[in-house]
Amino acid sequence: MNKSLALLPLLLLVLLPTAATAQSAAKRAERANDSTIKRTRARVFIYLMPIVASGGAGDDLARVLGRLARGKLGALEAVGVKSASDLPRIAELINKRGDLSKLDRVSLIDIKNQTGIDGLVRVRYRYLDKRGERVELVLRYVDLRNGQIFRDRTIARAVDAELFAAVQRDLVALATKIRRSYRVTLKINANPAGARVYVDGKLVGRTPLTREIKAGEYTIRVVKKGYRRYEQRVSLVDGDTLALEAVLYNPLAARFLNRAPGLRVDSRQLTFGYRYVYLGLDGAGLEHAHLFSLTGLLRVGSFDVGLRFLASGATADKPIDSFVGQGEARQQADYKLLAFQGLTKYVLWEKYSFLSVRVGVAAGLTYASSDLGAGHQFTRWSFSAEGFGEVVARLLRSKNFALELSVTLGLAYLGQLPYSEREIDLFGAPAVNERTAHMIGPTGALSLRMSFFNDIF
Amino acid sequence: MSTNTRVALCAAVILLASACGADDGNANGGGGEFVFNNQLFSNTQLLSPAASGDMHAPSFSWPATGERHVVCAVFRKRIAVRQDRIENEDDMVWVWHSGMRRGREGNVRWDDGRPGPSSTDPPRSLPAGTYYWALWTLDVAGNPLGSSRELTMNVP
Repeated sequence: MNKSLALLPLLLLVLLPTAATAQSAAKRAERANDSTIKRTRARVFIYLMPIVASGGAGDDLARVLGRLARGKLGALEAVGVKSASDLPRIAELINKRGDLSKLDRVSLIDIKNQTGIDGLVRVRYRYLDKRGERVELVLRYVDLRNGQIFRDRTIARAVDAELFAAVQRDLVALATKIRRSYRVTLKINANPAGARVYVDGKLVGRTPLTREIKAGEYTIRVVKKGYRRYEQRVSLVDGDTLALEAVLYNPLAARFLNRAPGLRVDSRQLTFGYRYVYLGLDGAGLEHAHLFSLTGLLRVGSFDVGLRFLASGATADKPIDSFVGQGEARQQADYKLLAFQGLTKYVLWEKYSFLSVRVGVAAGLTYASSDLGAGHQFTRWSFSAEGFGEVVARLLRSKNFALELSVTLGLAYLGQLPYSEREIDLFGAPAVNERTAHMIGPTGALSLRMSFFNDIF
Repeated sequence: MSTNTRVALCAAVILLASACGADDGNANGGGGEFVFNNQLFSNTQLLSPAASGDMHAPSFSWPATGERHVVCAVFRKRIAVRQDRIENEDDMVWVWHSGMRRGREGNVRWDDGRPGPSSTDPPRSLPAGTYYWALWTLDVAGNPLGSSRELTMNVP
């Protein structure tokens, strides 16, 4: 039975990391949900004005050019094409101001503001011969975002593939120019604020932060001392807006910041200590109990929950009366105590985890034995309990490990102690009467506690 | 080792055992007392007291043990011992122990004792008959430490 008792704390130590690992995984998942990254992809719209031949409506060439422009621009990423059928109002706006060539910069920007169109393409053409083999194309590309003419081009040549290729190049150039004018916008916030933001290892500022950068692949890192850093690899194209809300965790302050719903284990604790209990048992000759304690705890919210193992061995030697006179004989006994208890502490007050005050209770079973020699041995299992107050002070801290000193005062009931009372008379071996005493008294303990926090910076 | 040597050794062992048996034996010629083989308490040091003088009020002597708990007692019947305790304490007719602060341990006169464990009267002379007596010591915890064999004393 004693061996079983000794194995239980070991079992506890094995189970604690396992439970903590599972819990840690759950917590990581929970964290991933707390930080958000939102990407908004900008979309550029280019308005294709009705293609008309000079002096009249367009013919098949107008339809070909229209399909060409729609197809080419539509194939570009994040570029949309609008025509007069999509936006009849834009034609009204232009007509209201007269011809496109007469519109000044402010008017063009106003069109963009009213319609959301970023660019405009106007195509006019006329045939240079009666057979329609040569044509003169007059193209105007307008960047409505800045109200400027991006390009005016006049192409006079045979209607062939090179003509259409030249138009394609201009369309792509206009769309790309507009797209690139947007760049990439980073909007980064962190909780808590004031975290440093690194883009590809280069410090770009502190949160809250808004920056425009070029398109590309970046590693964004948000760092604040004392908190677990946030790191994310992102791929950004022109016009993207990246909104990042990084929730940074300080494991020590986890109870105060970013508190997640439900129970979670903040740390595991292993405590070695010395415990003193004043018993004052004259009958058993046991006035004091000196116990070694080994405790394994989990910190869950404001509670420490775990198991405790206590062990003690003592030899009592007390004078007893005999037929020779008072105190002429002595009674010796070897006592052994083993206690296995469940333990709960509540954190009453805590100052940044450096100093804390707790109250707690422990309850469990105690195995007590007394050996008087000459084959007289008594054993007993009984209930034991303790109530106490505790002050814990941190001695040192390194990453996720902390060494702490705790001082405990309380009242302990260590259970029942079997012992004997001997009556030494003339007639030989003394009569041995088994007695039982309740071991109860004030207690004090000094312990060294190792805390292993589940978060690693 | 030859057969003759083995026979000689066996014979020597038998003779030695016989001699010891005679030594521990039934008759103690010096005091004319009969000695029982059994030691009073098991696994204790053997004590060898002797009675002398007038058998109606004898004196008892033994090599001093120096122990705090020494008892010498005379019974009118055989001493009944069970699990290292004497059960027929009522048969005790004379007793001396080291707590009486009378006499000297190792050499006790009849008058140093008392008629019984709880008596304070002076001892009376023994009437004629056969008596059984023994000496024993207890350690500081009260466990038997030394004991004599049960001895007989014939009072004419």
